[in-house]
This record gives sequence, structure tokens and C-alpha cells, in this order.
Amino acid sequence: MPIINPMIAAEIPSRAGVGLKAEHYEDILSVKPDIGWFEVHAENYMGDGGAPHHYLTRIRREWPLSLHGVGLSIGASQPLDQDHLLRLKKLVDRYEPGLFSEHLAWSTHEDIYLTDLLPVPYNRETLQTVCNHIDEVQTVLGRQMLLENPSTYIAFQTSTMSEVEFLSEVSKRTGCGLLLDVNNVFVSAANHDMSAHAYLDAFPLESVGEIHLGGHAPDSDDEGCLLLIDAHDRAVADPVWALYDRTIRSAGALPTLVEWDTDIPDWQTLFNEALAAEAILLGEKSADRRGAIAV
Amino acid sequence: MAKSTKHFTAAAIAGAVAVAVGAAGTPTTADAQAKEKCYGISLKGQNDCAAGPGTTCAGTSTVDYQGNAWTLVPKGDCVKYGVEEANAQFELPGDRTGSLEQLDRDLPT
Amino acid sequence: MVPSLSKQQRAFAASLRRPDGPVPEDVTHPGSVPPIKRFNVYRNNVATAEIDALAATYPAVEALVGSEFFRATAREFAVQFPPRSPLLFRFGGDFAYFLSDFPPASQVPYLADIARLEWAQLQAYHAADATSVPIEKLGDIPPEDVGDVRFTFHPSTHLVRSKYPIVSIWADCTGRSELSPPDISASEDALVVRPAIEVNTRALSGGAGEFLAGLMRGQTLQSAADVAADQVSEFDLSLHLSGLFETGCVMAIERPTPGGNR
Repeated sequence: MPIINPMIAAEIPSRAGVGLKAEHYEDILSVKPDIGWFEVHAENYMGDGGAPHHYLTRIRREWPLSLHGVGLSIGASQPLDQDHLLRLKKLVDRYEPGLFSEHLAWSTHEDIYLTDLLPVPYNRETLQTVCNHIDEVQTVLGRQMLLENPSTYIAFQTSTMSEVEFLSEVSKRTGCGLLLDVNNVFVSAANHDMSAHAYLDAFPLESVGEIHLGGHAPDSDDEGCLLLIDAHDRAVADPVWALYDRTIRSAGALPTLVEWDTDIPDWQTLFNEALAAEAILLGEKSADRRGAIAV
Repeated sequence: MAKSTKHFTAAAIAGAVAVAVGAAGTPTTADAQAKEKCYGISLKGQNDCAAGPGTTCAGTSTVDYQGNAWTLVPKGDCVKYGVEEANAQFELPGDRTGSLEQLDRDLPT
Repeated sequence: MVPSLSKQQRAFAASLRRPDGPVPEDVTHPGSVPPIKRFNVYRNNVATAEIDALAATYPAVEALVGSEFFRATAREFAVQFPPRSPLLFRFGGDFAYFLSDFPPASQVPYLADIARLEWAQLQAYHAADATSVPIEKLGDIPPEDVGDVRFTFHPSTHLVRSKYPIVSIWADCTGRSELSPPDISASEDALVVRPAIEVNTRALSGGAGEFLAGLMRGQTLQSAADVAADQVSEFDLSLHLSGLFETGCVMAIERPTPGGNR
């Protein structure tokens, strides 16, 4: 029996969606919320069977799905893990996601998996490596992928171009789309003492296929200056909403995902975040959001 | 494995099977007792384990790596069931003397 | 000279795993002092994700030893047995082995067996889907042949044997049991199986562990029953056959080949 209801298109609408969490499976299936789509972390659905596939199959019957990889290690100097790539291919074939995205980061070294999305220097060598890997992914999956801008806490002396120049060049060379994480832009800009507005002004919005929003946690660095942590453990911050609003005004409506991965709230709280994003997509942003635009 | 004694005749096996098949769907006393010790788990949140916070794009600034297990003692629920005082003293790293009997009875499945 | 990406990542990976080590040379940031706290965000992310993954897999072990001890132990484990796969549910399979030879945990002699039980539950959770066979199918076998049947088990089936009451301890410390705290001198084997969506854990007694162990090794019904009766003279075959099928762990009944070796 096909798991995809032919009535449910694969294509991700230019609406708000949320990251699907096991804690919300039952609520979602009983409430049947009016939400545009869901996104899952591909690696959580790479087991053979059981509850994860049971629930994802049921949810896919009702909503479009986006697949977001966290373990492919596209920025690693070493070759891509072929087994992992085939697992991704299997998942793409099974669930027919409307979008597939991964990170501009690395997480494997030799045979050790480093459980984080680690930063890369932006230079010619990294560019070549990343482009080769993306070519390989798009060839194996037989489709376009989106590459996400990272949140970073440090930079490298060996970088010779900006992050936006790097991402633009990757997109131009490989034909991949970009996933613009607005919270990551805000976090990295704060952490590197740069302007989020300048970043967005330079960003190739025409290549963006999806937007991410999430919460961040304040911390401090070695000199006592503010350091923002991309924690995904709370609601989206007001200045990030403002940046998002600005992005939608220049780029037009785009599929927008709210991520909340730690200290996961009840379904309604998460759904409310999606509704807030949808209000901005529809140009109905509330007055209190409008008041918070200065960043 | 050494050949075991034959405790069951073919007829005894067939008889036991017939009883078991016949009792299908009928709760028995033994059944009820067994159920007291049958527990279901749905592993809520297991998917977060499956990908982990570090792979869910979530960062954190918690400093965890400085804890040193060698300076700590277990103090959770195990205390309820009694801890083995005889094993409370152990050698520090470098001259490890694991006090546990190796349990080697896990079965391949 | 610009260091190659490969060299740069090797140095970065090595620094990540050395909490007191220096920050890699080519790392930069807006300030002027060495960015140790900034780099530690990455160190912490790696360490915390590893520990949290273990905590999600081993909640009963954590409940037994307490969070502080658990997290310190998990950290030590992750240094020795780091993740080898981007699938974090594959991380931590050696934890029971590690605990069995970890002196600070030796006061809790059943800890490693509880870890084996929780690992089995995680494997069952992700095992392939399959349909169980009802016991009625056993009634279709001619009585004279039924002693020679062998069973194929559901892919989620795991038998964890212990000299401690592992199911009772696990159920008690995870708040599943309303019975009184277990008698630590008793012993229990655990059958873990996931016939549909939920993982079930059942305590086996009265020779059922021996019986199931024999069947899972591929012994015939007759041989497995005899082995169980060797251990427990009052082994109740019909009771345990019922129990086994009731859990849904039997996926197929393999009939003896006509004319084949008995």
C-alpha cells in the first residue's frame, strides 16, 4: 500500500511548518492542526521499523514533509559516508519529501562521529570540497538539495571570503538551493560583531528555498561580551522575528520552519510559533512584533 | 552443549501444545501473574536520543566534561535496594580491580 | 602557508576531545584574548550530546546511580567508546560492558545487567516490523511432529539473562511498578519484544528463560523443553508456550522436513 496519499502533494507550500517531535505525534494526529507542513531530522528515521516509521507514515499521509539531514558532514575534508548517503536515498524514496536540506558544517573525522555541526574556513579549498560533496549528494538523490547557513562561535584565519560569498558561490556552482536560517544569521552576527542586516542585504535571496527560525540562549565569551548559543530551547526572539519580517518583505513568501529541539513545549505553544510565522507570511504581523524591529 | 535428559515424551509435548492452543484467549491465573511483570515502554523522546541534541542543531553551553566519575559515588535509587559495602573500596585507575563477576550469559539474537 | 582542510580538521577534532588543550591555532574571533570559552561551546556540544544520548537510552541506569554519577560515568565512557555513526541510537552499545568493569560502579553489581536490558529495549524499538504468529498455528501441526518444530523469532526479540531481578529493578526505578521494592537476591531473565509499536518487557521465571534460550538457538520444541526441565524440574510447558506466543515474539513456525533428519 502506498504510504503517500495521492491527495497530499509532496511540494512544501509557502506556509509555516514545525520540526516534528515524538512528544507531539499523538496530539498532531488527534488535533489535525491546520499547519502547512512538517520537517524531520532524517537520522531519527533511519532505524528499520517501529514507532518512528509508524508515526511518520501516518503524518506523511496528511501533510507535506521536508527532510533535514544533520549527519552527512558535507564540510568534511574526507569523503562522504556512502552508507549514510544510501540511507538518505532510501528515506527520500520512501517518504517523497518536498525538500531535502543539510548543513554547511562537518561532523565526522576518520571513523569518529563528532556530535555537533562544526564550522569550516571559507576559502577555495573548502569551496571545492563542499561543491564536490553537494554534486555527489544531488546525483545520488536525483534531486536538488538546500544548504543551510550555520551559526558559529569562532571563525578561521584561513577564511578568504565571507560566508555569504561562500554560500552564493556554492549555489552558483552546484545548482543547490539555500536554506536561510534567520536565527543563525542573528546568532553569528552577534557573535562576530557583524551586521545581520548587511548579511541579509548580501544574501542571494533568489536561491532560498526554505527559511528556519528558532530560539537562542544568551551566554558570554572570554571577554565577558555577549555570546549567543543556537540552543533551539525556547521561543523565537523578537529581533529574529523582525529580521524574518524584513526577509519576507524582500524575498516574498517562503516555506518557513520553526525549530524547537530542547526543552520541548506542549503542542499548542509550538503551534503558536508557527501561527506567528504565518501571520508574517501573510503580511498580518502584529503590532508588538512591529515594535521590535530595531536590532 | 551436553545432551539433556529427555523429560518429555512426544505425547507429553503434543498434550502440552494442545492445552496451550486450547487455552488461547482465555486468561489464566498464571497469565494474570505474568502480566504483573510485563511492562510496556513507548520511549517518549527516544528520537531525541536517536539524533541527540548535538545533531538536532541545538547548541548548549553546559560544562559537562569536568565531572570526574572517579571521585563520585552512586546515590540514586540503588541506595533503596542496598549497595554492596564490600565493594565500596576500589583501586584507582592504573591498577583497576573490577569487582564484578563477568556476566557472560547474554544470548545472541 | 595555508593548512589544508584535512590537517585543519584533524587538529580541530583533537582539540575538541582534549578539554584542557589549547584552541586550534587558526581559530579567530572579534576579541583579543584566546577564545577558550568560544571554543568550549563546541567541546560542550559534543560532550553534552553524547551524554544526553546515553541518558535517553539508559534512564534506569541513570535513576539507579543518580544524575551526577551517571553523567560523569557517561562522559568517561564516551571518551573511550565515542560514537562511530551519525545515527545516535547506535551509540552506547558497549555501555554495559564498560559498566561491568568500572570500579566506581561496582557497589551496584546489577548495573551492567540493567544497561543490557535497556540496550535490548532500544534495539527492539528500532527493529524491523514483522507479523507475529498466533498459537493456533501450532495446532495445525500433526501431534506426532509438533516436538520437532523450530521457531523463528520476531526481529525485535531479545532475551537478557541475569542473576539479579532486572525486570523488577528496572520497573521499580523507572516508576512502572507499584509493587514493593524487589528482593535483590531473586533472579530474573527478561524477554523484550515489540510485536507492534510498543516495546514490551516481561520477566521470565520457572525455566522460561532456559526454554526461550534453547528455542532462540534454533533447538526444536522438544529439545528446548527438555533443557528447561533439566534446570527446573516442575517446568510447565503448556504455560510457557502460551506465554511465549502471547508476547508475539514468534514470527514463524518451521515444520520438520518430511524425511529429513530428526
